[in-house]
Amino acid sequence: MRVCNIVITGFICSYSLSFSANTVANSDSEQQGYAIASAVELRDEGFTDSRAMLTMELQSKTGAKTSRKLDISVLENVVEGDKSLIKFTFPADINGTALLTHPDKSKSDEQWLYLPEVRRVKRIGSRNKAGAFVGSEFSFEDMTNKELDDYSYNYLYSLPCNEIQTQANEFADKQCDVIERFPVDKHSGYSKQQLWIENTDQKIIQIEYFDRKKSLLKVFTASGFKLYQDKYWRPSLVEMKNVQTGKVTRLSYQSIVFASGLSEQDFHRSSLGD
Amino acid sequence: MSTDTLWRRMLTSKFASGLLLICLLLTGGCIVGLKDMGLSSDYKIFFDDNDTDLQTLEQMDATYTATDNVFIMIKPKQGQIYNVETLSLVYQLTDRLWQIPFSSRVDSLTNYPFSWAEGDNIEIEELLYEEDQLDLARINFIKRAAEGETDLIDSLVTSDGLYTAINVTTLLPGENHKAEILAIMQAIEADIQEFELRYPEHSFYVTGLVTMNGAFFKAAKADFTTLIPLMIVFVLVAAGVILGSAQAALSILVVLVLSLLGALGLAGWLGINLSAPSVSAPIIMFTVIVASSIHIISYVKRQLILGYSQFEAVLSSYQHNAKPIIVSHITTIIGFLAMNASDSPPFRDLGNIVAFGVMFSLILSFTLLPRLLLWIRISTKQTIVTNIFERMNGLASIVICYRNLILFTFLPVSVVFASLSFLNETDDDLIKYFNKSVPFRAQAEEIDQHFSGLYNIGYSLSSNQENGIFSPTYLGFVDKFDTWLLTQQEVVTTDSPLHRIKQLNQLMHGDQSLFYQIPKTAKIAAQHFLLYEMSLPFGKDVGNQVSFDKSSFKLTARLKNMTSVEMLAFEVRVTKWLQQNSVQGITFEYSSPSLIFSHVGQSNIFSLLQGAFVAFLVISLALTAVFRSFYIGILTLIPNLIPVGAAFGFWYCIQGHISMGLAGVSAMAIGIIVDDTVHFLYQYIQGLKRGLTPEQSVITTFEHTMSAIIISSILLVVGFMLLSSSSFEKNALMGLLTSGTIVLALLFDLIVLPAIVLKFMRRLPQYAGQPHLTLDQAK
Repeated sequence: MRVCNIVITGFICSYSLSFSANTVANSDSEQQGYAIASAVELRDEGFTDSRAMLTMELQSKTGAKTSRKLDISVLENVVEGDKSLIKFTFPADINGTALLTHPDKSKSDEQWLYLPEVRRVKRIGSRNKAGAFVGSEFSFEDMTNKELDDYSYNYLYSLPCNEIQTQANEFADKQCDVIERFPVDKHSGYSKQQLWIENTDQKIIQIEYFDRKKSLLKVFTASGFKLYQDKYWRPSLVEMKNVQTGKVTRLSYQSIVFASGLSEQDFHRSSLGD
Repeated sequence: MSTDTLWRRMLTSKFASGLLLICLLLTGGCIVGLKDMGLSSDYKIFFDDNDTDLQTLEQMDATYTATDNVFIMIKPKQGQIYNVETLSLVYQLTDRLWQIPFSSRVDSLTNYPFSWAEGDNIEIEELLYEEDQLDLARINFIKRAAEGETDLIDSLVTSDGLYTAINVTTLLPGENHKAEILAIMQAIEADIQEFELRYPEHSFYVTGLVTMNGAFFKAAKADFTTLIPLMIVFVLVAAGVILGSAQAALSILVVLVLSLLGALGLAGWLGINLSAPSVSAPIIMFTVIVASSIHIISYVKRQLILGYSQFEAVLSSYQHNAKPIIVSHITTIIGFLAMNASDSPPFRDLGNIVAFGVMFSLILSFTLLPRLLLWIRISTKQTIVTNIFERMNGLASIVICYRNLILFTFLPVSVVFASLSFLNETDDDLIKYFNKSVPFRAQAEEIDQHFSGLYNIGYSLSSNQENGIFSPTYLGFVDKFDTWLLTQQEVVTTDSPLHRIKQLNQLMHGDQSLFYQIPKTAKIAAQHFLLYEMSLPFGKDVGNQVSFDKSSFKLTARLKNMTSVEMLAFEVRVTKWLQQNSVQGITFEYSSPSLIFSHVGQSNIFSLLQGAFVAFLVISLALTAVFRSFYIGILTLIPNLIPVGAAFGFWYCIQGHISMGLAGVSAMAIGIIVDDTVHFLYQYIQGLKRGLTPEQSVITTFEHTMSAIIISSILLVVGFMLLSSSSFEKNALMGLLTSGTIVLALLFDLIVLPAIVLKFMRRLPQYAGQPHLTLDQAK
């Protein structure tokens, strides 16, 4: 099975082909939650590769803003999990810096960071999955590969999508399923996530993240969905708001290209400097 | 209309009943305001909203993650912290503390993101990622790592390895500050209790800003729930014994409680919240009010014993005491209003609430109290106390006999003591706001011996451009500043990303210590830092030290426990260095809770002393007006000013430090002690007017008034002594110093004042009493 994480929605996806014992849901609502999560990842199968250019805007509590620009490439890999490459293009100080992630099911993912100024590739520890991604409100955990089995699920209820205030226009006549998922890994920064999934196209349009003490920490919203390759829905704007600190991070996508012919070679650590 | 008919009407007419009703309604209306009254739980109430210091602090809290915290120190009873038991305790407690309400970050030895080079790779990982990693090898690894880690030593572990600490940063939504603080404190206490049981071989100590806020609230609440009932019992018993009548005591209590509730209610309407300093207002108010009611009632009792009817007794008491009581109430109100000169709201609140109470007491003493006194039965039995004061004449003749000796010895000695008062040092210490019995103070003092707890200053150094912190010029400046700070004797350690940036440079160069330096270019620094940021675990972002647009650093100087004077001296020295070594484009601002407390403490001492001075002038002018004589106005300075000065002189001998609460003593003490002078002078002048010789007049004044003066002074002294049991050290010292002042003032009124009037006021001043004469003539 494969599940795509919605934040860079499907740009970083991963696979898990086996159903392990602990994923066998034992109540109706758990089974239903699991089924909805499976449906989401099924929508994304077969995209082979994608490249996106986006701007990451950080906003402080007082409303001051600063931004970064990055390119994200993803290579679909059904067996091992999707490989991803994030390249920073702005600000100038970190232009050319690149983060390569190879998922590894058996142990922690492998990550390398290329620093152009010193022309060095450094492997970095990947036990920081709950940590913040370059000072943004997104954590690695929010952005990188997820497997279906990383969570247990629970179906809550369904409701018209326009009852979520922020999504009123775009999903006016659509129905949303609301499910909860609970991370299995105790090093996760979260105790729970609550997802709103539009149920005709399986678009994840809102997620609430609850911290380890079960208080609401962050709210993720996605909007401006566009259809690519007649199959893959991608938002053009996502926002992560930290309700405890008042900080917000917005990602706006300038372009998304599917199946542009990326190869394993593009995702090898030796090509990082290219 | 003569005063006689006026008072007859006050006691009987319908108009007076109407007036009483209006006063009671007014009081009742104010009491409703109690619904808005609360106890405050935020140290920020010590500052005005527009206080520039507080604004700087809040701005820094907005730029960097706020510094509200709970700091827990852990000590194994035996040996070092580097053992399986202690480290697994720290690991588990760290884990647990993430569950504390509103916690946003937990820093401990075990979750410290340690970085090291391994071959060509850089590892950045928590020192103890999983508890089951904990074996001998890991313990040694942690020990070695901690001992060599600048950012850990003195922040989370001591260099001798005997103590470790966990810091919990909290982020309060601020919707219900009190409930949030209490929720945190409750959770912390529960966790500590549990861990104390599970790890009996370890001691735990807690401090931090959140803890301090909780302690302020608890101190205020403890005072409110213990001191006030104590005070009520005291008033009932004291008044009962002195007056020999439970009913008389009860009628005083009615006036008291109504004044208290009215004052607190009015404060509630005005949006004043009680806090640790102002919670002593009810006690002070009680003391002041009871002292003045005694004047009225003891006179009534005296007349009853002499055989007058109750109506005549009450009537003559009011005729006799009305003027001095009004004057003394007003001077007391002026004294307490003078506390409005304070820069710190709780001290203004304290002054205002007491002033409100005295105002209510004034109104009720002339409307409700006379009705009550007519209504109740007052026994005519002599009490032991009244018997004692029958013997006042003896004292009077001694004073008359030795007046010159008194004047020429007592006065100079007092003046010498008063001059000692200038030797007191102005001083304020955050932790010493609390009594030694308050656990917060004991624990905070213990922690301060090993770590730098509450005392620090955060310096925000801005490059004024996005990502400007990576430029070698900027980093060079920060490095120079940091190095200089570390040579200052007050500084325990500094805290900034500088060490991290240098260390990353070293790690990127194969861990050669030669490269422990600022990277050569901004790009290298930026890319190293990106690598570091990418590797940080949950909740460990650099937002507490780096502004979000990477334009500025926060460099925190952690300081030794010090007084406000030392703190301000350090502040000035640092600012001077920053100005002398300034680099173009780099600006700085700085603040910290302990620093702004030092500021408000210091400025408050002076503003309160100024307020006292103004009160003094106003009271002297008022007395000049009352006695219609500038000469008397000047003369009253002696018995009023000198005791206050002498009390501060004594204070120098026993303690020597004036903090911001104590400075308020001068203002309120003047308002109180002037009352006795007023009573004495008023009766003395009345005697002269009746044609008595000065000596005869002094003797009658002793007979009629001195007993009430002594009783009310004793009541005041005991009342203020009760305050010294407050868990809020400032209130306790305030109570102690005020009662000392009152004792000295009483001595002056008993001995020196009679001598003064016999020497300098043998005749009626030119205009004194004249209007009365014309009134009498008209009659």
